[in-house]
Amino acid sequence: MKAPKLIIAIILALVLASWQGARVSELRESETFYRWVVAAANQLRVFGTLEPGQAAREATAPDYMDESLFTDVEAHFEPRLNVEPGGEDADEESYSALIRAVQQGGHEHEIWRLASSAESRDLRQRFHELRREGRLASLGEVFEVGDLYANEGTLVNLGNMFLGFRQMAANLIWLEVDKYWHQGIMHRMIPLMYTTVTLDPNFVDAFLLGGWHMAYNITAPMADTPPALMEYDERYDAWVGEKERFYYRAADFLKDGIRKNPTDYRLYFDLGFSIYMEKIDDPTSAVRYLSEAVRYPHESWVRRTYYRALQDDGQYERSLQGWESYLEEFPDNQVAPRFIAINEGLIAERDGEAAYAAAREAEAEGDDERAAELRAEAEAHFDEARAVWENILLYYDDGYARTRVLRLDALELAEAGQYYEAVALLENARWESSDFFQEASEMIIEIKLEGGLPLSLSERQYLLRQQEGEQRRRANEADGA
Amino acid sequence: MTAIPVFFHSLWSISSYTWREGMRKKILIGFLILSLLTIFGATFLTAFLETGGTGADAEVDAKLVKDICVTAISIFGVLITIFISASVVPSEVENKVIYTVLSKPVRRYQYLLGKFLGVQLIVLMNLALMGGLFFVALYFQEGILPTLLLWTILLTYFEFIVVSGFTFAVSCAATSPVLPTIAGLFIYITGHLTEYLYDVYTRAGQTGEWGDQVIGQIAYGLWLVLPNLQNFNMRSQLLHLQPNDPPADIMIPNLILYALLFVVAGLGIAYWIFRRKEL
Repeated sequence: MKAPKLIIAIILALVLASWQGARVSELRESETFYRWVVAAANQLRVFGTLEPGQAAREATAPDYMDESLFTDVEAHFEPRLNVEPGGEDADEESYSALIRAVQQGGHEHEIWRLASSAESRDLRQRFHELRREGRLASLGEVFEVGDLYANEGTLVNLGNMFLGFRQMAANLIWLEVDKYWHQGIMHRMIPLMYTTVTLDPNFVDAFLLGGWHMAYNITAPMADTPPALMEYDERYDAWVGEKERFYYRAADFLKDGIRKNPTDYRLYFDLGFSIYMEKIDDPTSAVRYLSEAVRYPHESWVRRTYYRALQDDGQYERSLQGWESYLEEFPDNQVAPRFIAINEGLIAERDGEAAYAAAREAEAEGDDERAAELRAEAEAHFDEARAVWENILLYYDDGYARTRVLRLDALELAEAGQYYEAVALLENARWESSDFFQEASEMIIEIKLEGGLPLSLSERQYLLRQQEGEQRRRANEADGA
Repeated sequence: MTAIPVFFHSLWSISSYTWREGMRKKILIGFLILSLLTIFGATFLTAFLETGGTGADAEVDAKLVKDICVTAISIFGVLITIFISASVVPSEVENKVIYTVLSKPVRRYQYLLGKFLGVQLIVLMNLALMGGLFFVALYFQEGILPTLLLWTILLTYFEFIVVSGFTFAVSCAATSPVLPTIAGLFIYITGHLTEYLYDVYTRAGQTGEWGDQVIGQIAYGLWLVLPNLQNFNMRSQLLHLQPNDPPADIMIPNLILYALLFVVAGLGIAYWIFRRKEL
């Protein structure tokens, strides 16, 4: 080959390679955009928001643009996505086509085609500009090349040193976390845990273990905060002490993990069960996250925990239905029959209490005949519930069933106007099962109020705290509106 | 014998000779042994950590083994690629074997292509050995066969082939392997820092000075022309791949094409240098 031709061939190859390089870069940018679209659709459904609320924002936080950008993406994708309407979720009808497509699954190629199309170029560019400016909270804590110019250079230097081997850097830092954990130097673990997941956002086990360390191990030596010393935290809309702050911090850490790994069931499970169900005692949030965990490939205990959370949240019918389907699938399972019976008992109790309440209303209106009918109905329900609990006690030495029987006795005493006896019964019953303690304590206050009995100091404090919390919540809602 | 079979026969003779010669090099065997020890040692490393256990702890162990092995394959793989690409031509010039080869009915481009293919055979053989041991180590440690890792190893190879192409081109101008080896390391490091050029481009122009804008444009031009090896770093996406992941499906063939175009350019430069070399 003659020299000029060869030079032309080399230049042509370099030009083609550069052109292909630009195409690859565009594909990578499309990929980042696509992953954000999918993750943001998931976050909006699960967390209800893409940006932290005013109370949760730091003073130096920028003006986030997540929701504005996502609204435009939804509007752009809406007419172009072919998604089935409706679904199991009652809220699903209000979701956009994009959120439904991500929730239902199987639309990944369609979303990718739209995210990488020429028509979406403006949206992609806007996304990357906002990303570079750090105005997308839904991306979570991320490591960016631009951070090189930031003042806090520790993380950057680590990333830079490893020339694309950031996972290894994250692993080495994680080994330090592990070392400090075994040495009991908890305060040194926390910043390193954040560094680890910043360097390797797909290190799901670091999120899981980090959340566990914060919610369980770090808080283990801490004394319980006396209720009077708790403070109302607007970010979490809850009364918190030192321990509770760590629980919420663990929840935030796991939520950051979900932002970066939205399809890993373990993060939803730990957030729902380990934090909200076991530590924060918020069954509604637990149900929300556990219902997400069962959407992705999961272990069998995840479903069982989900059904227990539904029960704790008072969704007995859904819990019962779940346990029945579980038993059909695993006929040898030992715990499903017990929980089926428990849910049947709880449904009967709930219906009995509703009938009692309706009977009281009917009495107040002077409709004695209707009131008598309702009372008979309530008693039938309570008898049904009592039969369920006693049946359970035939097979198991079950503290929970025992407390339910005592609870029924207390309700009947209160209904008969024997308030002192009802309270005395509950005072004893609440020590039978830890599951029943909170419920029994609240019942005691209700019965005392109904019967005009004096409240103890701690009961009055509890009521005051509830009222103050409610006032603050309303004030926050009014501010938000 | 017709022309085409003769062409391929010569090519095969040169590449198989290069392969045999390369596999005898002590430094390569040293790198290979070190990489195999690292991969094998990764399974022992986690045994000494106190993370061992069940659940998330056990999965941390698996992740450590995977990351150490993938990193070892990348580091030792690129060292092997650079050393072998940098040495095949200069060492033949040094020991004068090249004069005997080129006195035969072999064209210079045939010789270069044969040498390059021989280098690729060595790199592939080393990658297969390291990857194979990685699979065995992971199977014994975790009882799993990570088939998705095949894609990461494939992309790692195409990253190496770009480095190999340009190192090979530099080696054609050199009389000893030292300069091309340094150049190869430089190409590898620069290739991984190309992303910063784009960042300079996006940040340029903020001062409003013309010099600032010119620097931005130069950075953009360099970003377009230089191979961006960070593009091949899809380990995270592939290791954490979910079912139905469309971007990975389209990225892999595009990255392969990207690498091959740079290889063609690298080989073109190598031939342009080598064709007029006095031998």
